[in-house]
Amino acid sequence: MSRLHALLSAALWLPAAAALAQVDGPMGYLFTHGPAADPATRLNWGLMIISALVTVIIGALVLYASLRRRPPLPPADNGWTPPQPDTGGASWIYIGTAISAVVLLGSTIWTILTLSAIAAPHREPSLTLEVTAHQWWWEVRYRGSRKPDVMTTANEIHIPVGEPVHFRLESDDVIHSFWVPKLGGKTDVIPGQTNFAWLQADRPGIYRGQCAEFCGPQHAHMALYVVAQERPAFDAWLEGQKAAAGAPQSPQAVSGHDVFMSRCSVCHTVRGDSAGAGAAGRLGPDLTHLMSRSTIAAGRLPNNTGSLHGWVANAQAIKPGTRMPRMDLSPEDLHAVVSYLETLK
Amino acid sequence: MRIASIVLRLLAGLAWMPAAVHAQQGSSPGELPRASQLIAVPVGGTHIPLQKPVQQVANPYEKDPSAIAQGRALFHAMNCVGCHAPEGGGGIGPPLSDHEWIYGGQPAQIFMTIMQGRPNGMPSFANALPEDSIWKLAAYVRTLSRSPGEAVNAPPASTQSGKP
Repeated sequence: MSRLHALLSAALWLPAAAALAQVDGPMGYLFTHGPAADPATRLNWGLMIISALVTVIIGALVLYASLRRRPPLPPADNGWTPPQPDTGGASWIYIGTAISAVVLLGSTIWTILTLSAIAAPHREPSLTLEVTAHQWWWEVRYRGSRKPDVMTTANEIHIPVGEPVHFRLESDDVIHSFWVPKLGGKTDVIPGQTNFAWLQADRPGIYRGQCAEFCGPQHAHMALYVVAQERPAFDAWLEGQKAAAGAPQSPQAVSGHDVFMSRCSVCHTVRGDSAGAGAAGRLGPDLTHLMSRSTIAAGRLPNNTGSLHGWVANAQAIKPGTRMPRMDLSPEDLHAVVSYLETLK
Repeated sequence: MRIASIVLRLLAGLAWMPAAVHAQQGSSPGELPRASQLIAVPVGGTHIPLQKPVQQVANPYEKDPSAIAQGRALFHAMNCVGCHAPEGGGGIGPPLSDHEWIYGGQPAQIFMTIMQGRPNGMPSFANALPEDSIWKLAAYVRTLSRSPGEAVNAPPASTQSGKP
């Protein structure tokens, strides 16, 4: 008996525990870590609990009513069932309507207060980032106070902890949606329109984001990461990202640089390249500090030697439809290009 | 900004380009079209209606088989095949072997498309190739839509707007 009981409770609780573990997974929006998301999360939980309570209470009342219904009156002489005498039950309709009205009105007010709480940060954002959504990756620009002071990166956004960060969202092609569930709600990214969002991370960490509006065959592989760091670490990162790429040293990397300039530079930028002119293509992600990023191809692959070889050789096999064509490089050129890419720290 | 820089580059290139070409080739390809002619070339073809007629700008390599062969080599070397497929069959990029031209199929329109790049994935090759090579590439691209029997030297099949 006790074994059966244990089995039954395991069968009930294990899926629930697994579901709860997922709830706090990388894309779990039921536990959030920033003031742009927390009020909505509280509202979300509150409305969920209210809905569950309403379902339970109404279910119990319906069950009670159907079990405790009165026996039918005996048929009258003409064979018809006489009407039930009025016992004052109709007043429960007014009571129920009043309770529902109070709960719904309360929910409405709470929703309005929540919307106003997350509409704008409580203080001036310390940083404004420009995010351009492309099929299927995210371009991110950090602009300094001086005009030419601009740093472009891709798919990995670093922000300082505890400070509101403002996002200017633009699309290069179709409608996308910018969503970092642990830090805030979705904001659509619409071609020809600039939308704004703000996020703030209350604790350091890596928060996963994802395009949340179907944008084509590789929509699922359009991830981004928000890395929240303490201010000094963030400043150091930003300085490092602004720096120019170093010159390749090893003979293989030098020959890889030549291949890169002739085959890749039409679409990709490597800032302040040692070769003078430098690669200045604007269609693909800026690769100046490629190796500082943890993934390539918008979260499609971890950033390592194997992934880079596969991606450079034939991106179409890994992310069909991506704008990066098959390269048809000789094995020597492929190894050389990857060893050059690996110098872009 | 970008177009301005391309125009500047074109203007700067005018002074030395033909001379350099003569020096490299040893043969005379004729004058390359001038920047003032090229910036007037409107974008438009089968899908985007032309706002004004295309002024005829001749490609000096249009009827030069050896230049077309060099254009073919560039088509592979610059990985045009990565998007447009060998023989221009199309893939990520639109086919070049049919008679539909999104941004125009006149020699100067093809030149400007390669030079400037176009939306949705066509990069600018202004930094990657000299003008001379782009004209050869454009001459080769024009041959892709010809039917097999058609001679390289034959004039364009159609003079309808938007079609070569």
